[in-house]
Amino acid sequence: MIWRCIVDAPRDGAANMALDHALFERVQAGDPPVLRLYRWDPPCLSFGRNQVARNVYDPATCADLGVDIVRRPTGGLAVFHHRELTYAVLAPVAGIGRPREAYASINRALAAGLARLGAAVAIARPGIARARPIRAARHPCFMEAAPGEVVLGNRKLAGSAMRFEKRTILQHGSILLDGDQSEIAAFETGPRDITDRSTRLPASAPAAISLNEAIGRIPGWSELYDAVLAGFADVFGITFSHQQSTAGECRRAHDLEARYRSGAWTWRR
Amino acid sequence: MSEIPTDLLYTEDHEYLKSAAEDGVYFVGITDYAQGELGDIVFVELPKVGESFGRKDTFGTVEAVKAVSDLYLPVAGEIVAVNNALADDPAVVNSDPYGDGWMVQIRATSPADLDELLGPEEYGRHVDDG
Repeated sequence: MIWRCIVDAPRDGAANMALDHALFERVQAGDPPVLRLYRWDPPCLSFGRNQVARNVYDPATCADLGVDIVRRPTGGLAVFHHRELTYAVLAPVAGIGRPREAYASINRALAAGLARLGAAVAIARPGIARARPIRAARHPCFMEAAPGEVVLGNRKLAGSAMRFEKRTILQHGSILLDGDQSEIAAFETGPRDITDRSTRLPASAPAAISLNEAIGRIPGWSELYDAVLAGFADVFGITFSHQQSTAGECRRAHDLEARYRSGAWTWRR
Repeated sequence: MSEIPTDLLYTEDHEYLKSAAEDGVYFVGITDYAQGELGDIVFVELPKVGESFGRKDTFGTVEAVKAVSDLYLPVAGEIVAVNNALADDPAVVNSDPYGDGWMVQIRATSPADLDELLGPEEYGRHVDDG
């Protein structure tokens, strides 16, 4: 089977989510599956679709720090998108399996790709983490690995989130290239002294790990893309047709940006 | 093996319809197969009482750890009750999908829609087909 591979220039949060959404609609309509690889400019804090963010994250602080904000269409918790490679898979369940199966397969593909770069990754087993309620708003995505996610030891290297609609999967996620997501604490409401954790969840050793820490370097973009694509090709038995988004997809994404930029969506909870 | 009660009707998207005490009113939720497929449910987004939807319209979403999935109304109807207990305990959808894990009650506005639903045996074959 042939998937489309789209490698994008960096975009801001709303533009990235809008393009994922536009591609999701196309695959729901029967277009071929897509693997999109992308980046963020400016750095961006994203929330899960149902995450409580109002009065948890401070938009003024983010603006002062030059950090964009967007609410994803997918589940999960907060992620700071800065030094990372982001992937998005858009595929029908008929090709990739139902949500849990697809989640596992995609993470295996990521692990296979990262292993090619020399990272001694594994897949987190059940029992490593338990489901946390959405009310635990100050518990960012990378604080804990969910079963099936890509880890090195018990630290998360790639975090993902999914939306399942019209028998099609949108799963996107972040492969950390550098840093440990500790910056997220600075975006929260309350004291801006990020060393003051008296009112936050207990501090502990970082739960996230970057590729830089794992293998001692940050590969160049071409090497990263090649490794990730090879991982997906191995696990799914696919080849890729390298394309850009079509003019129609870009127009639809442009229309969808308004939703992802709106305060009503971003601060809905 | 997922549970498929014989007194309910089902959809291909793994929702169920269960008669309530009042004529024309039905409980709607997701099936045991669906909750097992999704995993630990952490959030259920439901409509407001009084809203109306067409058959197969999205009436809410359910989130399981990372995956957000739409909920599709099996038959056209007006929402007459919402299970507010799911806000504090969404996991009851996993533990008791056909009982305390009900999501909405609807007053069906198009009785003919019921003819489009699957009986328990047909739904069982649909589940087995994957």
